[in-house]
Amino acid sequence: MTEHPLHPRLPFDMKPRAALAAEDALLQQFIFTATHEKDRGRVRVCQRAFGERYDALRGLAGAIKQHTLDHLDSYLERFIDRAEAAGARVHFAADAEQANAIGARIAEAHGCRLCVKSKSMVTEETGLVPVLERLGVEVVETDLGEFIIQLDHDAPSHIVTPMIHKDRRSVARAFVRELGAEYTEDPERLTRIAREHMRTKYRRADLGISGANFLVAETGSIVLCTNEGNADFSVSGPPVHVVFAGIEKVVPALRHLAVFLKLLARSATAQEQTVYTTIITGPRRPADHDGPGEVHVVLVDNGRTEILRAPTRELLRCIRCGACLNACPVYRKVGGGHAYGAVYSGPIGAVITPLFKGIENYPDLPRASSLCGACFEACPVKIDLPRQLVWLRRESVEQKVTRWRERLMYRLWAATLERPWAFGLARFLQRWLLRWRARSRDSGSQGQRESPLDPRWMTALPGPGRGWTECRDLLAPPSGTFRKWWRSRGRGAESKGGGP
Amino acid sequence: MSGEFSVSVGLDRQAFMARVRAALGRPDSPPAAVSPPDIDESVARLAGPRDDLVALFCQRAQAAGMVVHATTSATLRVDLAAALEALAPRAACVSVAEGSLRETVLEGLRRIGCGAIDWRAKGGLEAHYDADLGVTDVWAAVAESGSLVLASDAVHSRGTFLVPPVHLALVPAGAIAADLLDLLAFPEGRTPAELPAAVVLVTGPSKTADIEGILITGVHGPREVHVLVIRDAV
Repeated sequence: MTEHPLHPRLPFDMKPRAALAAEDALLQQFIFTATHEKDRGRVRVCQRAFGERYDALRGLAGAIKQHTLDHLDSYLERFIDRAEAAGARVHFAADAEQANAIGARIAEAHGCRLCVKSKSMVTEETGLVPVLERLGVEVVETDLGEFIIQLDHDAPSHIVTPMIHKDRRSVARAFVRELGAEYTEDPERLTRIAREHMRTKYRRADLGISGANFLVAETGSIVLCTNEGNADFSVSGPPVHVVFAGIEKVVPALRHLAVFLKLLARSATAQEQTVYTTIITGPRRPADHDGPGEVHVVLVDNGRTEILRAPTRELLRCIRCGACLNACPVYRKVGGGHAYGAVYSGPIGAVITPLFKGIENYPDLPRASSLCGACFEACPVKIDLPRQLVWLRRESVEQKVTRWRERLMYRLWAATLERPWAFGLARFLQRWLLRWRARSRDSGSQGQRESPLDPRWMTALPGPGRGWTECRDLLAPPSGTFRKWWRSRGRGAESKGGGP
Repeated sequence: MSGEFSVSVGLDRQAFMARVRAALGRPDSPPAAVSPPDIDESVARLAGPRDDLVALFCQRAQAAGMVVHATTSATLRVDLAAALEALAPRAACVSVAEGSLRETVLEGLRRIGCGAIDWRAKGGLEAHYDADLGVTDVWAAVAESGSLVLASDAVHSRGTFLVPPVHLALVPAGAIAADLLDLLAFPEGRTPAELPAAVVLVTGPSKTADIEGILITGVHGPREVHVLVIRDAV
């Protein structure tokens, strides 16, 4: 049995997956095109709409979410009161197991057989679907991308566009195999097939499950944003609607929701708005003809209260737009989300996954970033992801998650820098060794360079230096040092002005 | 379906909230009354009451992929007839509030020989699967984003704008809010139960780009959304 892409054996080693993806030219091209275009699109539509206010608006959205988190107890209490006043039932799950048990209990109590489910990262995180399936409930993912992934027994690789790693041929094969459809590679016809198939499910479903993009404390509302309309089908037809939502989804009031709606779709997919933005406040009213008779909201902690403790609190501002994934050069190069071995990938995943699951289980993730800051610039709620990554690296050193060789190396490095004589000796040794290496037979003279062999270049280094010379050469140090040259110019040289 | 069973799994509310308060560093104090931050409108507002709301709405709705026509009360009958004739539906569902607008729609459908399905006759959204057109008025509209806003109640089904392959919406100019900030202002003293159970902002036809990023409309919801703006109606 192959390993599950998002729930691997722990501790997780990122490197084999990243290495495989780096060699897959087609995957590299897919992910690059998809993320690069979305990233440029985000900048374009945000500049067009907000101009010079873009940065201030991100600051405002971040401040609203930070305020809400700082007073999360108050806003959650308010949300619960108002949701119940509107007729919804609110449940409380400390962890994934409890969340799934609540979902299972509701499905059992109503004798549900067929569940239509819209995309929800929280249920992906808790592993709800297999739990319901074990109860004999058929669960259909209704988002087109998630549906294809479900048919293919695959896992999402991007939090907004889940099948970013798959092409139309794999969709065609899945539809032939699982739905008995005629083979076609035309995306238009493939979509029609999915539409007709899904409608037979919507009409028979007795349970609708969704996530929530936002919870509104003021009105007890839950907010769903989709482009396909699948969430609206899932939560309008069946008699029971169960919402799974992380506690960080709360915003104070409807007018604050407006601020986030201005940023979410623009940041996620470079659209002004998602096609469907649905605000659900309780079950259907007595006079209504349709809509679910019961709405259950399952508030999920599952590690979030740990992150809520300062200094990681700002991470819970995240509205799951995926802009940081699209902007991240590492996410692109490692072939998308699967290389992160967890539900949340990209820069945000690199920080929250170790916090959810333990740094010792994901030792590579805090370092899966060049700290270039593109994620910080893209984030609509201004989460300082580079700072959080650095903080996490420090934590992993303090918790001794890093290897002893690395720790020893930094010890020696620090000791050397503290002592001038040791620094001088280290410099001497380094220069001497590199120059000796460059002259020696197994380096310069055996290199694959086309030009006459140049003994100043090293084409192969042993040990820890191998990684460097595998894809480029290293210039050996010159015979003289900068310090020696500086001293030889004499004191008077300084006043003459010009450089060397 | 009263749902008065108890879910005995999970935490109770007190225990759950205690975890949150502990994480905030105030395990024992009851939550304080906090007032949410103000919204700096000079930063967040994209449209104001001084804008030409009809023009802005039409432009944004078009940009979002909807087909927009403008008309007036005097020409509504003719323009609606022309729109319906072009769409040539065989069976339509109508979610329009009682009144002259509803009568105009029903008359227009009758004239082209299109049946109006009584969607109350079947439970849930079921009747809407037989329709090839859904006609609605709107709860509101938003100029900033070109969004239609639809809400559920006794005469407005959640299926009419969602299930049929084509949606035709009638938008009186007076229903157009300038900005999302104006739409989403919840009056003080109202209770959540006074809100409609579902308020849906529709901004374009249903679409997906899941397969190789290629844009396709009509994946689950309508593939076409037509909008008729009535310039002088409130």
